[in-house]
Amino acid sequence: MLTSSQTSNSIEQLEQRLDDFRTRFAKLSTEIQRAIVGYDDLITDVLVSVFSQGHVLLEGVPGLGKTYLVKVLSQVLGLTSGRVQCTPDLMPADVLGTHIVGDDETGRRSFRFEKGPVFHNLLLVDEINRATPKTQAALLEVMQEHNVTAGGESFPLPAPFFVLATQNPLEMEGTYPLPEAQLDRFFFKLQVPFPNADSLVEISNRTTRFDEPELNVVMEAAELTEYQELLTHIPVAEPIVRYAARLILATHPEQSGADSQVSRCVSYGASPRGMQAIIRGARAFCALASRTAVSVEDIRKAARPALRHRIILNFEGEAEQVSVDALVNDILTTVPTPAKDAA
Amino acid sequence: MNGSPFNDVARRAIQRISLARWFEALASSALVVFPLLAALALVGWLTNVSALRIGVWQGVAVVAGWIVLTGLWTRRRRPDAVSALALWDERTGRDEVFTSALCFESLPEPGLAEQLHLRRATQQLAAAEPQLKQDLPAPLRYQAWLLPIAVLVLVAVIPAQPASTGEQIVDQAERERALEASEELARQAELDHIETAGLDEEEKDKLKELEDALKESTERLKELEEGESARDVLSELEAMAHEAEKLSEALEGDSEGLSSEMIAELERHADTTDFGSALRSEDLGDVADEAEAIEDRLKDKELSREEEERMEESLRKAMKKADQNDKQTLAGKELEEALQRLTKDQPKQAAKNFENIARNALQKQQRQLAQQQLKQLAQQLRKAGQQIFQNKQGNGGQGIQKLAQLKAQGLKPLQAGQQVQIAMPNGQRGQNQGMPVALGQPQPGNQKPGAMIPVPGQPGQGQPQGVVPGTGQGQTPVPGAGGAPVPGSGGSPVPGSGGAPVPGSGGAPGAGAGVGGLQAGTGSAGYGNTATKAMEAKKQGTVQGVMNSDGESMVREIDPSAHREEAGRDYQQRVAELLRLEEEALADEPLPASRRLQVLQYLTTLRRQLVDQQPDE
Repeated sequence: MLTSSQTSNSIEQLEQRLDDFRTRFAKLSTEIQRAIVGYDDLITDVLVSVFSQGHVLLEGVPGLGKTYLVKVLSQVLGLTSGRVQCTPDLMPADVLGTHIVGDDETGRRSFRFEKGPVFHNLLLVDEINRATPKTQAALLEVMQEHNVTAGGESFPLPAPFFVLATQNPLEMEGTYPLPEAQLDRFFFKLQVPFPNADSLVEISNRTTRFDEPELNVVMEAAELTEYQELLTHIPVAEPIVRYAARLILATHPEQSGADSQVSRCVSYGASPRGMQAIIRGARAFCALASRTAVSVEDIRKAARPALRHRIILNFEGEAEQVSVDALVNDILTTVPTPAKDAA
Repeated sequence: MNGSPFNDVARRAIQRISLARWFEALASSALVVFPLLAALALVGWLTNVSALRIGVWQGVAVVAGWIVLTGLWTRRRRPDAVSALALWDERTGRDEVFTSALCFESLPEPGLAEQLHLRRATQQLAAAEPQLKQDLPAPLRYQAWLLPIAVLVLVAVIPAQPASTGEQIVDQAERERALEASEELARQAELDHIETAGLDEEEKDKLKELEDALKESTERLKELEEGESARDVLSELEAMAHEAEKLSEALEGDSEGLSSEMIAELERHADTTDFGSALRSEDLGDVADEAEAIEDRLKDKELSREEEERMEESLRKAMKKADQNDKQTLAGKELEEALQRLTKDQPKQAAKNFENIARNALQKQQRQLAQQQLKQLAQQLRKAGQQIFQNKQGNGGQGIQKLAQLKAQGLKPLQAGQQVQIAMPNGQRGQNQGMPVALGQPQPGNQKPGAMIPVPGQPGQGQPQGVVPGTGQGQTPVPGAGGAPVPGSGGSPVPGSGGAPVPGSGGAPGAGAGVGGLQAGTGSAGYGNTATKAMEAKKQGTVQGVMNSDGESMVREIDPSAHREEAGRDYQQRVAELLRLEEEALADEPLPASRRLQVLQYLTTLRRQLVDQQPDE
């Protein structure tokens, strides 16, 4: 048991570490912005996801720099990165790896497992919705278990491990929508917005030159892992957790008191994994805001990207092209906060 | 960390929030409660319904109850500590710092991160706590205090003002007089003094009911509340008086007097002289005594045959003089039966007949006494009303009299001595002919003078007294008395009526031209050859005079131009109707039969002369 002085020192250390985290985060963000124009919120959300040990699904029209963002990210974080360009003929082995026949050191022929691109800290899965469901399913274990099982043998993936997948919302031909089970494994789903005029001008200035900016490694993998562990210590008070739980329940149409729009247009709501994503993401947002305990605002900030891909619309919702973001906004408006009981 | 500072501040936050909610509840409920209360108070004042009247103390009680109830409701819905601090955090943009601190404070072993948060939150609390009241204001909106005060003032003011309907409210002096009157009436309420020997069971029950009602009213008079209306009290007293009068009228029996010829015959014989005299004097006590005397004589063992035969002879001759009516009366039947028994030589049985006559006379006497006592009671009740409200105008002091007058001014009964004026058409058609005849009321202007026909009988006595307005005479004609003035005819008496006035017989202004001018025809016209331009009627109308218990109907027009009016019914119809009404009213008058017959004959003569007579053109 720590003495009070030890406790006090520890508290100060904790405080210092949180301050360091904010500083490093800001530096990371700045470094990334040297290569990526605009997208400040997007970069923050991606970094929050990274620090929360979550996988990210980036959705945007082609040419917005989704792939470049992941590449930049891997550079500044000093992480090894792999890339998978999904095509309809992509096989699971192309992602995970496969056994091949090779010569061992004695010169004898033997099977050895050739690791696939998944064996990197950061895996970029481009246009994931182009891969067949079979290949998509190969990522399920990878994303959840962080290891690959092949030929009865389990191969752990390097830590930290992130999957950053991209998908194009426009094309319907030749695409395979991700199943709900796989969607649920993504921590955040982030919309990559189309840049505004100023951003476009800046993009042109920066990216049409012959050379690309050289990016520095701001954080190594070990440091990243430490900060990931630090964020898990940020406390969440019970009323705040209850508020997050009410948000999750409000996405389910069968729950009593559900919003009328939810009841009408939603087939299935967010799972407990969504709750985890909200809490973990809220911790990161809390630390970034120099707070020492998660607040309702942090929960709301994390709720939007965490719930966006976890609310499954029914036929009526899809026919009416109901916006899930609008549903989430309605839920955030209607679900009472802890202060509402006293208001 | 010592103590639980966040718990303490949470309690304070709860108090502030509860206070704010209570004030809000007061303000929002005041907008409903007090307009309703004010409306009730106004309705109670306007309609004078005592159940809706709200006094100051009731108003204060409502305000106190409203405050308490809203307080209880607010207390029931007070927030918990977490919600209270969360609201405070939200209002100040603190992002649930204190809310989380409250939760971490209660942890048995807070971790380092929780302790870090508590440390920071405690530093913030020191600066934030003094701002608690400012951050959680509890404003008292003006509706919460202004409306109750306004309504209290309203209910305090209202009883001081008379009700808008013109009802007059009992004041303190009247309450005192009511108390005095109630003491007097309490003595009267014991109706033991009323003779009940002659009453049957049903009449005794009615008397008992009257007694109970009287006692109740007496009690009510004692507890007369300030603010009650005079009308309620007067109405109650009048109702009691009316009940007493009704009972009195019910006790009135048929006057079954024997004809004067029969009585004269009884008087002619020595054995029945006193009995006959008693019958003629209509003194029931004497009748009973004399009948008992005859009964004793007939029962006497020493009654001689001669006496018996003399009695028989007296009765026989008396029965010969009896007419059909006499034989229908109880006395006539008993005398006839006594005669038959005496004829059969049964004096003792005949004595029983005289016993019956005596008993019946006694019973009647008792009923008469009870009747008079009830009438007196009615008068005393009315007098009590006058005594209580002696200063009141309008419906007050004269209220109960007016109530009685209103009843009296119905078709029946007419009061003896009341003057009746009949319009006399003096050959001038179009001049307000056909105006309804007022019963004892002055007629509007321009009415042709008419004769005053007195109602026979003195008020309560049968002898008319009164002034014939317009003539300066101090005495109305008395049927059978002779010498009455006859308008237009110089005072010639009407045959059979003893000089009743004959209206309209000479065309001259008749007596009693009290309405429409004392004298007619006093205008002057200039001399000359120029013919008076005939007036052309600009307007024609028919006036239907209607008379009912509410009084006469009137038509009043203001028209600058000359107009012609024609009566909807002619003079004869009007007079015939009047006479009919008088005859019907006569039936209810407590007149002896002989007098009633006399008046009927008088009215019959009038009818013959007035209805059958052609009107003068």
